[in-house]
Amino acid sequence: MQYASRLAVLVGALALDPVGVRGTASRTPLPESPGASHAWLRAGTPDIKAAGALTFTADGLLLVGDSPGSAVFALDVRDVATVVVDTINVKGIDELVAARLGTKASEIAINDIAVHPKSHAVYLSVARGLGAGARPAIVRVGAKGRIDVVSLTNIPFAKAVLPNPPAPGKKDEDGDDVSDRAITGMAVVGGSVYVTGISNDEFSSTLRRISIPFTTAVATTGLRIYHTHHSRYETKSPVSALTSYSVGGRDYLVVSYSCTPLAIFAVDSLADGAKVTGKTIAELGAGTHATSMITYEFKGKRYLAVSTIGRSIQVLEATDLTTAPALGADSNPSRGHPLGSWFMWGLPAFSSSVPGVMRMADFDANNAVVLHRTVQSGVLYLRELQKPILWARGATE
Amino acid sequence: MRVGFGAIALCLSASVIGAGVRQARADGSPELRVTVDSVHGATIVLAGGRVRATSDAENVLALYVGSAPSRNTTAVAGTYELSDTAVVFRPYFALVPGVEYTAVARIDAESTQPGTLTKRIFVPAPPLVAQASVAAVYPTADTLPENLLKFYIHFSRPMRDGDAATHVALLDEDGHVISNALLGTDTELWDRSHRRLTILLDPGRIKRGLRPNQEFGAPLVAGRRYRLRIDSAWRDADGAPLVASHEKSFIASSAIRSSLSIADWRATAPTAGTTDPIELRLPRPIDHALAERLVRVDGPSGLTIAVARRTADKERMIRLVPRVPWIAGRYRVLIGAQIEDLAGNNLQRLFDVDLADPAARTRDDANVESIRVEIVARRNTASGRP
Repeated sequence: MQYASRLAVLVGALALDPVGVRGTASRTPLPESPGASHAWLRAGTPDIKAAGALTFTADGLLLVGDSPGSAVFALDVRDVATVVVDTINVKGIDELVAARLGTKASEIAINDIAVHPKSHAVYLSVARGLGAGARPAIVRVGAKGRIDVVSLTNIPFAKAVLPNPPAPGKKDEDGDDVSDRAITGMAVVGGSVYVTGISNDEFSSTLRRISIPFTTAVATTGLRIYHTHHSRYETKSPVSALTSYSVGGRDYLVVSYSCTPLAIFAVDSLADGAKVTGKTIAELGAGTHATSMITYEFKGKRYLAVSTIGRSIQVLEATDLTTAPALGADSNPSRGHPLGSWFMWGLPAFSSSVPGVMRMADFDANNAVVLHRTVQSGVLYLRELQKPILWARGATE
Repeated sequence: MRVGFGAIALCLSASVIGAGVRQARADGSPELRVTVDSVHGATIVLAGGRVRATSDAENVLALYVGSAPSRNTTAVAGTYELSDTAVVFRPYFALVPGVEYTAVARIDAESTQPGTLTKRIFVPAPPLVAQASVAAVYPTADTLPENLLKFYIHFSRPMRDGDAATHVALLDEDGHVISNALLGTDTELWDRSHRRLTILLDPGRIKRGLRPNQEFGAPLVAGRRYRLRIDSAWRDADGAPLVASHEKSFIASSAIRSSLSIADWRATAPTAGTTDPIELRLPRPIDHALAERLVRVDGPSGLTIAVARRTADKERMIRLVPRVPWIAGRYRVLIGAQIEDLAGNNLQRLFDVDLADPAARTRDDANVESIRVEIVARRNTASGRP
């Protein structure tokens, strides 16, 4: 006998996921990729081991740093939202993301944030689980704080494997010559993505360049970068954050070291395998280091904002970062000063009034978006800070 | 694995709609079924009713974390499959053992008998058994330079991410925690197996010329005794604590500020036909992780020989053990110039290069240095000339 209920269960067209839903492709056609520029990607399931550093290319490809996988993935997230997200203010973002991922907030880590250049949706890289069975997740926060999980099944993607640092001879049969590098920063400049990392054995900085589109034989640059500071000692140090800067048609990388100079390098000076010494333009000061940086123009002035461990965002103002005076052996104002390296030195700077910022990304012409935990309640927010990044936008605690 | 049924019964009369309804209960009532596979992947099926399109499937069938979801609760993300007779939902991620979930089907308000079906889903978590322990802490010597740069903690099992800062501390001889001695990195520096963690001592306190170094000195002071304490509450990848706490005691000795060089490394050659190691004896301890990664052996034909690379004698020796017996001939031990001593000095440069010192050695030209080893039959022959 064949029965059915008089009751009609109403379901239907799925608007759940901006990138389509696994298993329903026949019913819900995937949106076309915006533009043919991503034709070099192939659909499949990227084998991302962990989703860490995030950044977007200008045309909307999401680049995902995978530290344990020693790779960078380019994902076409097919964000074809017709509505531009005009504001972001999500209270308890970790609780909401965890609920969406089917777990508790104590069992996830939000690793980085990036803003889609067209939709202004905020993408989060997340570890779903912190022990055995931990999985990577990419989460999209859209208009009205709607949270969706980006399906990593049947998504157009490409993978660039970061080569191991040069080791003598050939790789052993068991291939145990890996140096695991946590990717600390990525910046897209002039058709390439630059990647910095901190090694789990070697104490140094290496910069890798991956051209976009990724090619089958991944072109990368091993580049050793040094900073001259601390008055008279030239030191090697891991890089904790990286961003790009362009002025007068020339591209630069701004690099923040763990202890604690900010240095600038002209991209066209970076040759494969070269030893390059950047110009130190500021010192963050002892006891802190950068977690993310952005550069922007606002009301005719140029800024470099640095989110840090231990301090609120430090905002440096400069007509032109590239012409800022170098802090060198004989020109470091901290020398002989009673505060010495406790202090921030270099360009004029101010501290934002919002402490507890963990990650920052550029949002729109007037705002940055930050992941921050309030001092008052300990609640984790994804929200905007108004440029020039002095205070928060919208209601605060 | 079938999970217990806890639906609110709805008494609905039925009418014939088509062949696909055979799976439904005989009375034709909508039914919420949940299956969880062996890796905790869940499939939630709402069947037995007629399925029509609306704008948002989550309003019809959804999974929530917790036992009492409301309309405002954030639903678990996953995929939906729709047919005329069923809604099938699969969460993207496996259910977490020990976490309670509730599946909810909301029958449309426009129908004659609206209502809600719910089902509680719970995968019991296996009991936590402490099994992991600290297998080793490197450097293993009990005297370490005051400008020591790194510790490596090796665990017997994979560990959980994100807990290190609260479970490892450097103590002075009175047992007080030395604050800000260890560098808080944004990302914990695990190896791929998640069994080895690298802990950096704050380089700002080691580098000369920086205020923390000038005012507080290096975290370690020569002549004093210290302990690196790893407490047992540190969780392994399954969430279980360590079997026991672990302490490494050591005395700080004077800083190493001279260049690292292989000129005084001595190689001992094994006998052909054996799998005895080539042994490199070093006058100062080496970073064991870099020694295991950056030392290679090229054989008489020029091809790289597969060897196991292990440090010994408190990292003053590197042993290179072949998989197959050595054949007689000339070998070259290649050492990557990035290899570091315990203070971060490598073959190219000192950790701190004093620009005012013209003798300070920086060599960025050679990436690899080598030591020749001749392996002959019967008797051992050593030659250690770089």
